[in-house]
Amino acid sequence: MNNQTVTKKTVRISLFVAIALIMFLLESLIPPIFAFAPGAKLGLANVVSLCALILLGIIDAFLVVIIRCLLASFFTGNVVALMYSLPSSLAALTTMTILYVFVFDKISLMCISFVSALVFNFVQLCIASVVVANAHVLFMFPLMFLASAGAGIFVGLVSYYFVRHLPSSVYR
Amino acid sequence: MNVKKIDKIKYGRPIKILDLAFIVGLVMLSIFALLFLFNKKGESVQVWKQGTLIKTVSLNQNTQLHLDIYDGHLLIVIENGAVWVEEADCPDQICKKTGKISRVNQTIVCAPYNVFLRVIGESDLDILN
Repeated sequence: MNNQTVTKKTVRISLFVAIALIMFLLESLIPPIFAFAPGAKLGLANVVSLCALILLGIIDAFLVVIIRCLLASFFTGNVVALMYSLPSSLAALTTMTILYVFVFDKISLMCISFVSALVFNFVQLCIASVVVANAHVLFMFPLMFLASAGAGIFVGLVSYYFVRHLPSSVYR
Repeated sequence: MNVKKIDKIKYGRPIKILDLAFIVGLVMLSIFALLFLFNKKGESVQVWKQGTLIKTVSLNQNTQLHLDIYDGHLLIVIENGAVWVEEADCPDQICKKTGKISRVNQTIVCAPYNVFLRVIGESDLDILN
């Protein structure tokens, strides 16, 4: 790998991290859409994870997600949130990767992001149940499920239209 | 990256019929699960703090519970058969946003303070006694 490709890679990763952080900040400004599920968000930053996986490749996508989680928790000053966001984001990205590499084209992008949103929320609930040492937290899963269905479909459609309207000179 | 796959996204359709069936099926399943899980009115509420059950309060009375945790506090209100968190000093305020709960198996979680509320029914009380 020569110097030029390394620089290109670094710039691309930092661009995606910057976009993800802006999405994260914008999302905290809008009121919660899924009022019935406590703490559920639209997950706009996951649009960036999915697009990074498609446009940058697997290793770079993992880098983007790890850096995004670290910086987001430093910016908000809420380091406890890292305990929730990092494992669940990584689990969601792993799901996306497996589905995208092995079964993509049989299933659509929307379905990939739907399943990864489910995994995201499930891991988050598992962490919460470990933290309060009570498995009854998992009773909330059907509620979170409905929220993650909405969020997953939204994220999938946004990623689809993003990739669709991207000029091919960007990735070729 | 894989240019072939990106082209497949670009020129493919956003939704495939099989995916739609899969998603709709799972959503229906979760709605049924919700109806099944939360179909009974609760009798009392358990208050768990740091992994231990500290109190079981009947929902038929109107009371307030004050919990001191670390450097903050939590105010739990029980009124007209429902329970909710009125005041919390935790940073994320998710317990407050959860709102009122009154049906069996409904929960309120305050992760930063490690507090957990759970509504239980008559049959659960029998097991405890």
